[in-house]
Amino acid sequence: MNAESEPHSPNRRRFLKTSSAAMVGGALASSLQFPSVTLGAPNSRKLKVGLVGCGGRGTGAAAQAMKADSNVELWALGDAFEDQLTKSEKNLAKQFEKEPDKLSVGNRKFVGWDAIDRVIDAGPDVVLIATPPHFRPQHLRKVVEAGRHCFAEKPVAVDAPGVRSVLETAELAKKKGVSIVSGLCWRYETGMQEVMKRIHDGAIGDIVSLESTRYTRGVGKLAERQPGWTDMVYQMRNWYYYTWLSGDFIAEQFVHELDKMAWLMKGEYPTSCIASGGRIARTERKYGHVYDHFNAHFDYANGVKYYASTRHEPNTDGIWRDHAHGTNGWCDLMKYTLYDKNGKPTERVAKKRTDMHQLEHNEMYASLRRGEMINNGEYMAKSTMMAIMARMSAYTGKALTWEQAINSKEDLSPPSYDWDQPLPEPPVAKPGVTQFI
Amino acid sequence: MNATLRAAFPLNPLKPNPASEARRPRNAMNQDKTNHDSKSTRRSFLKTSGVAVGGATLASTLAFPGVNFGAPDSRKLKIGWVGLGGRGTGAIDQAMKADSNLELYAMADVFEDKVEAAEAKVKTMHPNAYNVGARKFTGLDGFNKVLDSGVDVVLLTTSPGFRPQHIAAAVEAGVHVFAEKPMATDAPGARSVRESIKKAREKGTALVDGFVWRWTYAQRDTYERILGGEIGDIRTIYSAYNGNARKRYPTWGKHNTKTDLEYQIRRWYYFTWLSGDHCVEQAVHSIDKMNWAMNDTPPEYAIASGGRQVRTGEEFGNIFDHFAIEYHWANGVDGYHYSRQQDNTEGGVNDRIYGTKGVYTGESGRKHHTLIGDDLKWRWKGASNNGYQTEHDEMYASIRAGNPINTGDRMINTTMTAIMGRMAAYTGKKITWDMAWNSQEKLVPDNIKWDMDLPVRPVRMPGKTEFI
Repeated sequence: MNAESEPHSPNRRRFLKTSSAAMVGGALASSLQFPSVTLGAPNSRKLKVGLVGCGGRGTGAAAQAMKADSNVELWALGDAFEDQLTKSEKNLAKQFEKEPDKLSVGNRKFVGWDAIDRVIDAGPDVVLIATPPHFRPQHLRKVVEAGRHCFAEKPVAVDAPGVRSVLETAELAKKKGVSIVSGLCWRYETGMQEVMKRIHDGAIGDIVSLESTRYTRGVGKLAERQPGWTDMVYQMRNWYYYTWLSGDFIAEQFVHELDKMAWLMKGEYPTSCIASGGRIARTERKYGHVYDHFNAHFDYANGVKYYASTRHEPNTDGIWRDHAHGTNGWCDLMKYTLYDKNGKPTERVAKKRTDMHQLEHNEMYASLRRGEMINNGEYMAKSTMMAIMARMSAYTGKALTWEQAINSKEDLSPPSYDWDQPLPEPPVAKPGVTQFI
Repeated sequence: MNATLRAAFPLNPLKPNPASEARRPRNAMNQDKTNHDSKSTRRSFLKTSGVAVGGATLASTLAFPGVNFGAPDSRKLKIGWVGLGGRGTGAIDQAMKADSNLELYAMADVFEDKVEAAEAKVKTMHPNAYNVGARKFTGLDGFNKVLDSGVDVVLLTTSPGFRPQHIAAAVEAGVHVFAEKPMATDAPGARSVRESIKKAREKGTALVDGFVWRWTYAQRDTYERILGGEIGDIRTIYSAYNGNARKRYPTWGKHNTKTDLEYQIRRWYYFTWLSGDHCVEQAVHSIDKMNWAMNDTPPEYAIASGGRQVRTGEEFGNIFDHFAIEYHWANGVDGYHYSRQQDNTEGGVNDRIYGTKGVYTGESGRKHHTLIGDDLKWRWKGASNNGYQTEHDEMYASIRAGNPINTGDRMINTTMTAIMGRMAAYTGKKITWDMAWNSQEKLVPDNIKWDMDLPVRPVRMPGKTEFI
């Protein structure tokens, strides 16, 4: 394994190819249920894709996967609800009207709590998981244990036990030689990659402080409770508004901004956090119990501070910006613009945003064809943890260290996955009253 | 100021009238502080006044510190006091210690029990300076009676909602004013104060604020260095004012107050029209430091979030319990200000200023101030003072010197900066400096009467609450 200690050696590419081939040919071939896609010439074999979680994002991811490689087909669909699945299937059928061979779902359509198992059993090469974030740790584990490649939407957990599980699964994926590609799509955005390269090359000097603000009007979708809906059905239909399902919006959406800064900090995560937040505009019961604004202050071991605020409040003014200040200038990330010490713009690295939701799938399939496994597991877990840490700090009013947060024992899972199980509305967190667990 | 009030409060005949009276001669050191509002002299003013209160230096080198030395104006000054609460009691004590020739001459509060309590306290603290006699006034027009009684100086320490009209009346009456922060709770009030500041300047009467950090040596020394460029050009300013929710007015409630107005004034902190909300009433100290770092250039706009998550009971009126305000200055500087008042949560009052050459870190309460940069490692060490005392020391010294301090511009700018942040949080809108100043929302009712119908405005909701 000498090649690994020289990651930039010209032989790296060849090493990766060889080792994947070796793994598949040797120990793994016998233990895995499916032969690796990585053998042979590019595009030599049709890749089967399964989608679990047929909402808007999942349907989008499936379409992007179909466009990412010329030789893929949608093989199986799974969702907790039949209507969601049907809607997604129709939507995809329309999108791929002219390429009907891309859709080979047949009767491999699975509805219910065990949809994940049945999709995996149907034998796809790649599984896209885009269910509510609560399910990500368990679904990811199942996919990786089954030796399937995985595209996992963000965030990847809603609580610390979930994050710890994902970190384990990420290690397992390395051993098994399967890919985990994260839906933290900025990592695949061309302009942002260039910006990060400049910053990592020292364009603004050493990092001093970071700022992110993402104020939006929220995600809007609400399902009115229908006759016959149990608590579980209602909460699953309105998953965004339940922390056990979505992680709250700081994890569900703002994780993108936190992850950008984790990327900028070369994978270094904050040592502590103090956050506030609340629920002032989305106060009606129909909005479950999540907050509508958060404000967090992160501290890093090397003295860097990160000020981060986000809100989801209907009919309010928006703002979306990420700033990084260094000893030698600063960067407006969302404008791809670097400034010197005197505040003069020195370079606009990119003009417009690339289609990062597409690019992440392009990269995934290209790497599979090359026999290089992508593993985004660590950063997707830790950036999710960063959001959960801030949420826990805001909910409890306590300053939290990274160690405290990642070792939190708070498991937000319901007692069981049973449609008829009573599931009382969780209380809205109150700082100073809500306990850190 | 309307004509009625003007008639009611003619210039106090006991007061020197700066408009007609020739300025007293000043020594060289004093010469350059003829205009406190000019940016170029602000620095030297701070230096001078810092020295002035130093003690020994004062007597030997300066001509103005007259009070204790007989010249140039050694006459006994009559103090009026309006708003007899805790901060007011502190202020009156500090005033008495600032100058040896003062007497408390008249006082007023809307409540009689406050007057009795204040009388007892002042008599204990400063028995020889208590000369109120029958000039103890209660009721909503008590401040008028104090001004009418012929005082030279008035301390305005009521709840902030009343400040604009009190400042207006006092300035109109030609009285020197010490006004606690903040100066107003709404834009109409702030506009009134802005007019009063101009008038005070024309009349040459003192208008001194209670933004205590401006009067604290550690802070002055530090901010002078920052403004002098020691950490380079400022890029980002951050301040936090996170604390617990002090239980205020445990004894006052619906059960022992007779009217809407009495209930609200007894529990004034919890009503936006009276206190301005906690970002205007308390955290404004930190906002003031942000403006100070920007050389008192106010921000271009604010965008903010906030809410009321814990202090939600009806007894807590309609204020928020946390804010996150982002300020943006025209030169590209961003400011982040966080505040909260929630029990049993992590606190912390601190400031950070990021410059192109270094970083300032400060905790005012602990007198901890550092500047760290490439070739810079500075920590404030020096003779500390109590800013609450110094604000009065310097005020009376300036009056005695015939050159009364007017800090109005900065104090109203800071008040308005805080109000702009609150408006942004309440409405969810981006609020510009001009929008804030031109806001037509009048929170303080006209013609206040004890028995008026005064329903509590619902808690504001961003996205629904309109900017007016």
